[in-house]
Amino acid sequence: MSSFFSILYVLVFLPSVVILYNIFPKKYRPIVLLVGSYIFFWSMSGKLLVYLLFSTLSVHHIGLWLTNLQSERNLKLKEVEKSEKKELKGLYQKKQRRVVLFGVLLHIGILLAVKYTPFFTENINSLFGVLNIPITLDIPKIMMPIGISFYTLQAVSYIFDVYREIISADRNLLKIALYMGFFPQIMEGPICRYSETAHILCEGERTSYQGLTMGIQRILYGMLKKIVVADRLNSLIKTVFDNYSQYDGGIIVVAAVCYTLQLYMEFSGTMDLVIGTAQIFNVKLPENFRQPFFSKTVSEFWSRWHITLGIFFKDYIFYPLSMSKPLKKLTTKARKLVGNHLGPLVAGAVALFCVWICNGLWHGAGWNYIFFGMYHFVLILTGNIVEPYAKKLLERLHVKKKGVAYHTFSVVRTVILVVIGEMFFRANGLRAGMSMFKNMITNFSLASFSDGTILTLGMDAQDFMIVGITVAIVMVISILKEKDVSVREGIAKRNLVLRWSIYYALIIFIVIFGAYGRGYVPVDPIYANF
Amino acid sequence: MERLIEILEDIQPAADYETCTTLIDDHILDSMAIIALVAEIEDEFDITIPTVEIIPANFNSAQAMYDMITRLQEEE
Amino acid sequence: MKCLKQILRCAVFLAGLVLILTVLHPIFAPKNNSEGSGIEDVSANGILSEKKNSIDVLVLGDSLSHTAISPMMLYKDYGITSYLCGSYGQYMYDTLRYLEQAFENQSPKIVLLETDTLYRRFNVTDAIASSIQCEFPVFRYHDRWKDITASDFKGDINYTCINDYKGYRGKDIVNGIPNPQYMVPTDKIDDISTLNQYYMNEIVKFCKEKNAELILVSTPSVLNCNYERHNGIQEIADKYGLEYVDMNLLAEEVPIDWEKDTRDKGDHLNHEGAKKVTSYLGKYLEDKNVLTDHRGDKEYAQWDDSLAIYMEKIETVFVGTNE
Repeated sequence: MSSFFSILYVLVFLPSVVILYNIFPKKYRPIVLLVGSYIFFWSMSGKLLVYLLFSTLSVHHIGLWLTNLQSERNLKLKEVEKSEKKELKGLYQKKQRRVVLFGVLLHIGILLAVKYTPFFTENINSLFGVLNIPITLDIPKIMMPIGISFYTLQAVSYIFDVYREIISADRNLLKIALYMGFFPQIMEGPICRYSETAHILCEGERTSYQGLTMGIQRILYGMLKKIVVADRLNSLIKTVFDNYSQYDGGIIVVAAVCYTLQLYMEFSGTMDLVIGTAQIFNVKLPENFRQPFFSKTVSEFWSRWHITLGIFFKDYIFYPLSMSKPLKKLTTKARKLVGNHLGPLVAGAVALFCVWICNGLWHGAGWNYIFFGMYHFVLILTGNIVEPYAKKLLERLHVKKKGVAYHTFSVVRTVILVVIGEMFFRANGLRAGMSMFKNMITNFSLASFSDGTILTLGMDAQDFMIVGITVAIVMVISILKEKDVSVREGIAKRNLVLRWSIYYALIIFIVIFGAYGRGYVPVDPIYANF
Repeated sequence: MERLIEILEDIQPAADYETCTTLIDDHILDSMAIIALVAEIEDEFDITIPTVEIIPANFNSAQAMYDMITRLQEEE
Repeated sequence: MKCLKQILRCAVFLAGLVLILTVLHPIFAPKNNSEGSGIEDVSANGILSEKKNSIDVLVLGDSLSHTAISPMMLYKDYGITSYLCGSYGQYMYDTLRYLEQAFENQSPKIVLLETDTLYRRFNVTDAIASSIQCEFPVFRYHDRWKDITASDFKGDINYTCINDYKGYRGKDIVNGIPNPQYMVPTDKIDDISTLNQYYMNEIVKFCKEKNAELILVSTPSVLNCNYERHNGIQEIADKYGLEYVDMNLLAEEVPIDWEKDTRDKGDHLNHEGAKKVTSYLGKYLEDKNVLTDHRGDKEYAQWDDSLAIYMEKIETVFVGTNE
């Protein structure tokens, strides 16, 4: 199995797991899920499964360790005088912190080692080169287990949540194993909280007819996005990004827009498939997208795109940092000095910086990813700083902030900023990204559209047409969703003939217009490599 | 409660804190505002708000914040 | 009861889907076997326009086969009518498909399988994809939506494109290597993958059913052949009682000069190499005494036309523009 969209997964693996799951008695169903998950992992990464097993066991153990410390503390608290309570609490907090630090460093350490060793050695080598030190370190080739970036974050979140006493540690190893390794979400998320999914994963409820049909419906919608749009755009994007110096700004703009579109269709399409699959097993996974392209600001965009990652960063990096003692003091001081608006921004900026450097690095080891993170840090911070001034300016100019014109302007501006960011993200290195950006601005022309160059990049007019039609369909559905109209339930409520016609039409549309088979190279699961 | 409303108005004037119950969900208070708010509340009410408490449910309305504050004061 | 009803409903839905996919096929199927008809592997599918039951020898395999064996030469020298259904990077599931397709309209007495394809690995997904494409050809030809016209809806198929080379795609380029030693005797065996063994078994079964003799042939190739593979193929041949001709070991009978007879440093043969291979093969087939010499037969007049074109083109210019 190379991805969720491979024939083996959709037509063989998933149906087998669903059937076996329902055949087995309730008690054994979670085990079916776990075995299925490990088979899935094995088919992707083979023996690297030990990484996942190790993380699962260590998370289980660290959780229990923390809970033991907590109950020990609670026992002692009952015995001691009120005056000593604070001291005791502090003592145990210190102990717990050590455990948390150990656990987090362990998991993040593995992730760093597996993911970033080549990047760091490379940079150390070039540093040696600059300093004229005649040492060249071998760049090790480390195989990365699938989904390590995702399940590591889940492990970290579990440890933190136990420490914060939001949840208590689970003795049930099966539950933890499923939480860490549930096959639909292992590759590209969504990143879940223990309290969100672990319990329901172990319930083993039979697949309901409604769950099955709604799940399949969602899977089909995901396939539409991925196979018809994302895969079809692939050759154009590859051509332009690999040979960017040969094209004028107009083409670069098209490729950048196509890439953002592809990224959205690939990632959100996969999420549709993942959430749909989970639905078949009665598991409600958190949504990862909420119509991001209707955002008015970059900050809002990131609260609607890859939502679970954003929440992770917010809960485990942004708030803990900005609420830490030194930064709190800084906030109080800064507010007195520079006022209510700019004051908190000082501490906020520090925390925000950490979030975005982590965000960039999480996506991959490379300077372009770090730049990608910094780009958003600057955009969001600037947005925060100028907000009140912009408001005043708008009031002076008598522009209505809630008017259609300003709203449209905000949305378009946000999309443009995002497209530029994603272009750097996709570019083959930071230098290539810079050069493309320069080209886009200084060498912009529409000539390539009129002389037909645009149709020589791997997509002909019909390809553009089919992409356009599909994007329009997705857009209409998104607009309806934005207005709280659920298309999915709407369809499910119709009579059988209409409902089935829609399903058949959707399947046939994917079969005919999907970019698969000879002459097409499907896009690799983009986020699975992060 | 009045003190709390005052603080809120000070940080982000454009909202009706008596009635609004979707301060976070509707992006009225963003993460930067939360930082300022927490710092101010801690100063004013002489409590420490642990990170665990920073969840939308505790900040969506003035009432929710007030409940959290009283709870934390009792725990002190 | 309710559960049963729901399962039934799913079954009906799937049946409907199968029906729709089947109905779609005639619309999307290529209506000819020419370039531009949208058909895959024009050269290999040229067999579709051959007269019914006119082909006596069928050759299957990957690019090693269609660069080394020239059916037209077999006709010229021995009167043997053969067709070469070889395609670039052919997998065993393609091989089986071409075999089955050929027997729909032809009844060859001998099937030659070039063995290189036995060592081309693929995974289960590819195999499933291929069998789905065979059951529902709309998956193979769905991309023809771009060229569909009103006449496609009538569904009339007419294969008119006669291939005058009968699947041969030789070239006259010389890019040699000096005196390679690549067949070093050993007892080691390069194992054939389970999937390839499965398809081999299917091919053997099919040929037996159709009363055709299956013969394994390894044409000379420095890059793709070695003694471990020879042993692996010999094992398969022994298992099914098949004849196996390894020309890599027949230096006297097939005297390949690796400095002159290869077009890409020992990967594929060029036209000179193909002449030597075909000449040996013709003799070998003739000695079997089961094939008819069709030269001069009025029924096979088209072969003489093709031969004329072949001779003219092959001797003057390089063959095959479709690389």
